[in-house]
Amino acid sequence: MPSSSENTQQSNNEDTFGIDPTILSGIGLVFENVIIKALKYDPGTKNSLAALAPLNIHIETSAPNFHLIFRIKENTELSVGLHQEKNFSSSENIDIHLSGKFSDFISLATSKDHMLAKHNISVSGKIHQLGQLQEIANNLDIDWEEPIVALLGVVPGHFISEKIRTAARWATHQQKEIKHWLPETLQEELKLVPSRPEVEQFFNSIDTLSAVTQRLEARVNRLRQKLESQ
Amino acid sequence: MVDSTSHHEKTKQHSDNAAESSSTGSSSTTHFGYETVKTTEKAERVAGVFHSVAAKYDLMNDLMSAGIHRLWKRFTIEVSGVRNGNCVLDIAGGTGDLAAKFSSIVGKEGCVVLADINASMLGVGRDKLIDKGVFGNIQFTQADAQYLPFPDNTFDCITIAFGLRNVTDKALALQSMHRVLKPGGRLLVLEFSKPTNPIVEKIYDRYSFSLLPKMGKLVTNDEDSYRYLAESIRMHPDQDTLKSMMLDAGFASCDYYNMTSGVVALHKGTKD
Repeated sequence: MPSSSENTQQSNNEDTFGIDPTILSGIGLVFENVIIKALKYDPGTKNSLAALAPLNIHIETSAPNFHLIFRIKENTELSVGLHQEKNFSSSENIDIHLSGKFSDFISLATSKDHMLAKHNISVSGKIHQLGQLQEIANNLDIDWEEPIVALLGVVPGHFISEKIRTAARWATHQQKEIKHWLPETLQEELKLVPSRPEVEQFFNSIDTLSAVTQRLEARVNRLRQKLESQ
Repeated sequence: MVDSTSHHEKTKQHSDNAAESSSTGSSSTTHFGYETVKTTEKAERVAGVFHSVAAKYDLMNDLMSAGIHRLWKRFTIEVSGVRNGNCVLDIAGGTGDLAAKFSSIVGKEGCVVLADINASMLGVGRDKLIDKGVFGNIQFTQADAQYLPFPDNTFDCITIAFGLRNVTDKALALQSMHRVLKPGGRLLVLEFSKPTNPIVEKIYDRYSFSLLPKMGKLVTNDEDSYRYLAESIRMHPDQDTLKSMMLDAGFASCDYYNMTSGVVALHKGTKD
């Protein structure tokens, strides 16, 4: 944290937990290396990104405060900076600026719905380029077989990749199957969970009972009033 | 095992001695680690240290810091705000870690000058960068940080990473850097400093006075140079003192960032 203004420093520390810049630099480096490695095995995406360069994207989160800056340069060189203070990016030309709560970005990343507005994330700058980036991300197809082949050789590498692919297909199929038969088994076979019609019937019975009770209460009240008036 | 308290006492004693020597008006002595030497001798003795370690400087840096020096330098580059077309001076650039990165950032329109007073370090740095394919926008200059051989207002950014503590007259060097910076330009001083956490300080003291010289002996067969490294770090001004020195040198503003609990600090000064 800068020492020039002690008050700012303290408030920043409270807000952002005052993470050591060494740790943030390390996280930035990991991000950068993961993206660079992924792009190495997906030249198509790399070329698509190169077409957007130069492009600077600034993601600003609050609670806690972070500034994540992605820079895509004309020579397809990519760099990632992670900071807790805005002054790092102030001298840069930011093309796309996204801001919101940290938790909103997490929910965006984990949700199937990528509409930014639904996650309370504000966007400014070249929004059409953000759309292009989303399209590039959707078409991301990493050839993960290549590093395995490079490590183990063509034949064993391809053999292991095939096995992994088969296992992945089986896992995906099993996941779908489980989604299909698990509710059926729980409801029909094991009778652990009621089925939807049963639940609806149960709630209907409650509604009917509630209505009958209310009517009965009204009658009792009327009879009580009659008795009191006599 | 070396007692950390004794190092603090030694540091204080030597700082007092240095202050005394300047206050007597002689101004002819300075410190070389914990030793008090003649001002004219220091540059020569520092040069001796770096001639000795130049060949294995990068390896030792990685070993000593467990690779963390790369993160410190990465942060320095981020804070520098250097952009395409800028002109950057990397003083005491050694084996060119920062210069290589700056060369890529400033592009063909910009320029990077890697300066070092030590010919061996400069030679290793130049060969390393050429081997990595870094050339075209980078120049190598053997220069003394106290008397930079550049016109006034030349550079957008100046960096000096782990070099200032080896300079004989730090105030003179800071003034010289201020002179060659363009108005609005930034000086970034990355240097070992005073740990802010007492536990880290104790571990760091034990590490640097017990383990570091032994590592130096094992890798470069030069225990004394690495003992000097540990001593010179303790003799270097702490965060606030260096900040005052930068403001005294004419910088309009100065901030510093403690890294790894203050083991290293990055000072950023801006010229008006």
